[in-house]
Amino acid sequence: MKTMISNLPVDLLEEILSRVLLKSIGAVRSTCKNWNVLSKDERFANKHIEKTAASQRDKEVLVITVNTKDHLISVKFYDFHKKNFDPSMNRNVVIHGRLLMKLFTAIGDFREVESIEAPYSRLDNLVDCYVPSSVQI
Amino acid sequence: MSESNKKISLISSEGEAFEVSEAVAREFEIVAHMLEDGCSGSSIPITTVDSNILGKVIEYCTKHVEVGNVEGNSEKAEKDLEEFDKRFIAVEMNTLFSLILAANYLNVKGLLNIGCQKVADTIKDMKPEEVRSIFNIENDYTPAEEEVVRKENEWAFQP
Repeated sequence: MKTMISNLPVDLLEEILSRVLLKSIGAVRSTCKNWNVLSKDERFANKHIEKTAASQRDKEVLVITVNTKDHLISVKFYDFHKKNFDPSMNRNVVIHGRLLMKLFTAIGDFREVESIEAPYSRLDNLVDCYVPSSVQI
Repeated sequence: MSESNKKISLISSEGEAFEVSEAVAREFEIVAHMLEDGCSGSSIPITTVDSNILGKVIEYCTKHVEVGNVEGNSEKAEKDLEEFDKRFIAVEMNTLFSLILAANYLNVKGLLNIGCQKVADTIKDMKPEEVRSIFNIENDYTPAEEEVVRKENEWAFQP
């Protein structure tokens, strides 16, 4: 019998998909309903962030979630050393214009983005992106 | 402990015996636990893994035990091992999934790791239709649903 990806138990599928680079997650979600649901799960998001953390040990991740109703963006900073979201670093910022949902792996000083109001260009020095499971679209 | 010369037989699902050193057998964490729990038998049935895959997993573990035994663990040895892993995992998808299942069952973490990474790397840079075709996945979205998901994730398709 040939083993296919559909023969894998869900935790192995999760293990695989959580290793897919953040920028390719859109393609994963478009593949089939099962993958879409799986990759929006909170456990998956945590796993995904962990994998990112493993490959980019000394960077920090900025999670941006968007509420389209009031255009409120919540920004969280993932601390790779403590392996948690640093609550003292959470910010709520309002943005205008086109809504982008990204989790950025930042190299520079995060404090710089805390006060962004409109221009996304301020985030240009941030790389990689991710939509955490909690994002409401 | 002077167990290094002890041999253990691992029996595949077809009943074929693979004789390995205890050090190699211990790379299978499931076997290591059995041995620690006092299971002293010299043959261990691995009923969910067939001969072809079991042979490959043993090959992987043997290589890693060999390299692990090299004193000082030189840079060259590590590079060799990386090369070995790369070649080892360059198999067709069905075999790759069988290896992942076996590594998961036998708890061979290194193999599970490179196996899952290989699949993830294959998905990377692929379009959804390519992912479906290579993994034999049925598209269960209606065109309208697919469009919604695509829009939701538009940011992700753009660099």
